[in-house]
Amino acid sequence: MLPRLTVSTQAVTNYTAGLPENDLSIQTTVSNSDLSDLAFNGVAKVNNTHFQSLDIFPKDNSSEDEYLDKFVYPGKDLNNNQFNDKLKQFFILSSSGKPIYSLNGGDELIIGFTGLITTIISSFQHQLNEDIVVIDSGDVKISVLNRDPLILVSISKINYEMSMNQITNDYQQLKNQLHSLYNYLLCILSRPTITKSFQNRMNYDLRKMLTDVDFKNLDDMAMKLTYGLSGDSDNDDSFEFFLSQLVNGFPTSKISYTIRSKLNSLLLHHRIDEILFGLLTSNLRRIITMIKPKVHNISNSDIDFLLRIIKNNNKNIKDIETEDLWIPICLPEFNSNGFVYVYVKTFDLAKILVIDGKYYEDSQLINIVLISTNKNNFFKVKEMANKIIENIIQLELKDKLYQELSNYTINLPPTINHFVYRDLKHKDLKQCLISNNPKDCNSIIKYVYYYSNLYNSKSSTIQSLTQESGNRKLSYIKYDVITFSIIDDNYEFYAIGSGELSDLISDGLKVVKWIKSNDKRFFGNVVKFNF
Amino acid sequence: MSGRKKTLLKVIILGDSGVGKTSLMQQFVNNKFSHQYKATIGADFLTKDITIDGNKQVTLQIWDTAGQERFQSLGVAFYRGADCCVLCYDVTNEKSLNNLSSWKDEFLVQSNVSNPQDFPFIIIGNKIDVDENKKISSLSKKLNNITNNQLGGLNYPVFETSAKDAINVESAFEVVAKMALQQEELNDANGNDVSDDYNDAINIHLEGDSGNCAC
Repeated sequence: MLPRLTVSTQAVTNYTAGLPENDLSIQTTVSNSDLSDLAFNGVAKVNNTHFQSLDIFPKDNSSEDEYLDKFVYPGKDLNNNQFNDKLKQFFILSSSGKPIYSLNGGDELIIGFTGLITTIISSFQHQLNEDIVVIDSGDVKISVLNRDPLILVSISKINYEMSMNQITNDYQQLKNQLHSLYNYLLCILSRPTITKSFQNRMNYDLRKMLTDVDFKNLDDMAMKLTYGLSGDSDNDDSFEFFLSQLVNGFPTSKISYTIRSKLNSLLLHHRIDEILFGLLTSNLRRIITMIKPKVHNISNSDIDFLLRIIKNNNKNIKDIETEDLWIPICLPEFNSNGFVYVYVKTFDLAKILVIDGKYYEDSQLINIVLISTNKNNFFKVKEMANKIIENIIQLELKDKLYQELSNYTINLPPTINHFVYRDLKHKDLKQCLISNNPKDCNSIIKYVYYYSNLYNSKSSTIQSLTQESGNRKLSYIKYDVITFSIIDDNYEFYAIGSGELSDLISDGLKVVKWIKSNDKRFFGNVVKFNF
Repeated sequence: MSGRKKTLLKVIILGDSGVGKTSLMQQFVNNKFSHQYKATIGADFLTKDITIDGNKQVTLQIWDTAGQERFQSLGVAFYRGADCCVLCYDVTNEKSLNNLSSWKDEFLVQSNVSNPQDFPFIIIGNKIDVDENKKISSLSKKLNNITNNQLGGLNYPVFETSAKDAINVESAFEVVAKMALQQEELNDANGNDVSDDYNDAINIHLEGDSGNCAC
């Protein structure tokens, strides 16, 4: 039974923009009534719609693969028409108009664009003393981030990127994408390096400082931030990256409180003074535990970049378990003026577990990530990492840890296909819990579309007549599926499901309740120390 | 650090309205000439790949500007970060010749280049295909005065071209590229590349709150 929720005088959002009408069951305005009493005429369909039949992208009669190749996947060796077919463009250029990066097209094609972009931006600055943020021509949206001596630009023809966020009145998604690409450059170069490069010579070609890996990383990020698809064929965590960026929460792991606190105290116990932040992650993807000084914070975006760069670095290493990584990285949101030194050691939990004389078959990689501000600390930090590993090997509960990490599956009520829960209670790190992710392109693109629209839509407040919690906000959009969000002071819950809205809300609240009752397993994983 | 094969050079073409800047560029990039005169509105961009000294790949990003004053407000973006500047005049128009030094000054002021005395300029006198009697009288003497003037003289290579008949256009731009490339290599050799020293470690204890992100 649904808790007694009452919709306030505000109307429940009807978000129908850009949808084919026959796919819609239009919802009439609801007010002052019990949600549980709502009756819907729409009958839920099986969720088998293809993204090409939704109004996300231009219509085209090609097969899915052809479609993606033509409109979505990046290409460097394109002619003018092929270039114009792409639904999304990203450019990074210097203030003098020299290209640094482009998602699509080669130099010949984009040099004209970069010149033009600089000219437009500069004449605005010159004549109006203002920076261009968005140029809106209806079907096309051009966003600009001016970070002299660099300019970042995106051009989008994608439906779900067209609408403004109803809460912030901003093109949040497009803006965040450009910030992410800029932060990537800061991560590997740091702000002073970029500034110095252009000092006294604005003609500098920043590409001299970037490697092929960097361009690949930028492609990969651009694709994930736009479509939830990976730049290469491996979509393993691409949708998760998209979603965690959208809701601004870092994916957490599910680990019992006992084990988590053991690991926390291990990190704290062995911490040497030079360590600023320390993390244990599972496969560089989800945080198991983290230690941080009371006076300093590390942002989601910085952790994202840190783990991403390490991950891409590891791709080039044959046997990561025998390697110690020691790399300088700039954490732009923490401090963009210099580098921290990151030590990474990866080990396979499966290899230290013996059951009936046998090892586990599936590997379960755990990474120790230690961040120091002194580049001469390598050996001390390495020693610390080794002690932590030794202790984990001796841990009685390591078997359980393995089980928990490898069985991430979250059981869902039958009405709900997918959800993301963003925790707002724990302030040290913004984290989210994401249910099992789609891996095929069709589902990913649809989910990206659904979640983007949902996130940008306006919600209405529901006043709680009962007990503990304060006001909740509800928002929903009906397609052949229903997407809805429930938000209060402690969490944001976004989900996709099918069936009656009232059932969905009721089931959604059950999931929320379950997550809350397991709060310590999901979110209590940051420990602070005196620095 | 990746050794990119092609060097990208930004080339600015300046000069009075009607001297043939756009025609020169069209001839150089597309081997085309049009008798119609269309004023350039604001700016135009063209790209051309050429090979220097037989083995150096260079991409020229050519910024064709409007000579008309009402478009001059585009200013800074145009000039800054240029690798080479081409000053154009019309061999039949004495005023355009006399204005060369203003164009140069305008460029140096707006572009804010660090070593103005080393910056690569070239001069192009266009329209040499016209009848001798239409040309500026005692052109070479006047030109000489301008280029060899001790005070702020334009002591740069001079090319006489015809965009119409494709005379000397290619070789002029080759010299442009060569000079810019030389300057570029000089810059790199001087260690202006802020390369790989990751010594900018942050001092957490000193920076205290400023190192603390606002989240």
